[in-house]
Amino acid sequence: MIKYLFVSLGILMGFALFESAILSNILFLPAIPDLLLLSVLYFSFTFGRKTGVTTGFFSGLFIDFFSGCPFGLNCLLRTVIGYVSGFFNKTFNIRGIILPCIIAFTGTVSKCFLQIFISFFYPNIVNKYSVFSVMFLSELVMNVVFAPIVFKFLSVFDSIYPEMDRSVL
Amino acid sequence: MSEKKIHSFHIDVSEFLFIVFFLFSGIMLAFSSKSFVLNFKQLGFDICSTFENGIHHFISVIDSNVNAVKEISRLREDYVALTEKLKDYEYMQRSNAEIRRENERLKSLLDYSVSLEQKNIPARIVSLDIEGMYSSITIDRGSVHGVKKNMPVIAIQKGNPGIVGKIVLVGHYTSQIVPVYDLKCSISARIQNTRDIGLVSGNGSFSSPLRLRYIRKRVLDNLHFGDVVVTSGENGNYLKDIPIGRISKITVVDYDSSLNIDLIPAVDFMRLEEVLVINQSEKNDREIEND
Repeated sequence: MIKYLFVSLGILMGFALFESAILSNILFLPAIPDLLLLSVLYFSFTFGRKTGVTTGFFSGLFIDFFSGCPFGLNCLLRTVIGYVSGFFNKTFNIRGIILPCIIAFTGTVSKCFLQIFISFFYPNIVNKYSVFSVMFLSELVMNVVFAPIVFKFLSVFDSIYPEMDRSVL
Repeated sequence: MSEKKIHSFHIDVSEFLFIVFFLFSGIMLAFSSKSFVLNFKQLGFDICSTFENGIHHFISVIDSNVNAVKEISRLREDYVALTEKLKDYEYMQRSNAEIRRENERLKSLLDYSVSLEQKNIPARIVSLDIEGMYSSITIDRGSVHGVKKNMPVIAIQKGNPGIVGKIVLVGHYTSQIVPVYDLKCSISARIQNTRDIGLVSGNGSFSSPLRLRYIRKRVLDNLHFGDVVVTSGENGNYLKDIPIGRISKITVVDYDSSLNIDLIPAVDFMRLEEVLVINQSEKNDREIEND
């Protein structure tokens, strides 16, 4: 379990660096695919709430460090997303293409609405998403397109996760 | 003997982690608006951006090596085949033009840097923000190079200076800039011709125009499209008379006593590669001493 946690944190850090050092410099992209959100969704859908909430928190922490957004915003957002999506552990078979796309779509929309909800409590520092903005719609499309690839990539590391912990979750 | 029921409070690990992380995130977010003894953001940025800088350099080295290898193999092929020589020549011509352009760009940056009274620190851009809702630019100069918080950042493009933003976060080897187009960024500005003062703020994206507000309606006749708007230097945060943008649209709103003016930024952020971080404090200190 601890081994897998470190591996997943390494993957999240890798994705965060990939997003900030490479993808962010490709200026013709209208938005950057949120690979960390897709990873959190994968971890929580596959291994449950405990893994979901931990990876959600740390992925948010990495983004808060790299980004200009207020510190804690992404931690809060992704912790909640990781925890809630952990309830759907083993409910769906997330292999294939269609279901990862649906999960990515739902996750991105949830992130948007959750951020709007959080902005009511921290109105001075949290920016509100505009649901119909080009930026959000581009991010949504990118997340949906990238979801099957990211899910497939992350499934390579599944074998590290101990079978015993999987049955507990 | 009656059996007593023992009520025990049980909490699952998942719920415990959720509560801990949730509270931590919420508290940190609350502290983000105020100053706190230990700046977690600063600490994390310092560590992560150093990695980021390392990755950037690593990729640059690999990229340049790969390009060098490609070029050697191409030259070898061209040497063998005469017809390929022409292609090679054209390629070299293109790359020469690229170097010439880069030389011109760096020369203009150097010329301007020398002409400035203030001490300045040239820097390269490492990365842009990964969160679409926020705008920030990371540069490869930090506190060890003399960068400090709130220092203004400018860029020279085609020999002309333009304001980029200001430093908001300083790491050891990297710093973060909040650009003029960010929603949080406001700059005291003047219209160069009329000397009217207003406030320029961003719209959150470098492709969106900047907004100049608090310009009185009665100066409408004196304004023209293409008029340059410069920094006023009023609050001492920014250098005086650095171009911010050009007027692209003027909107008159009946219920408002001032005009809504859109500006095209003076800096083309799509082409931004190098910037100058200006250290105003030394010049200000000298002026105070002279006074």
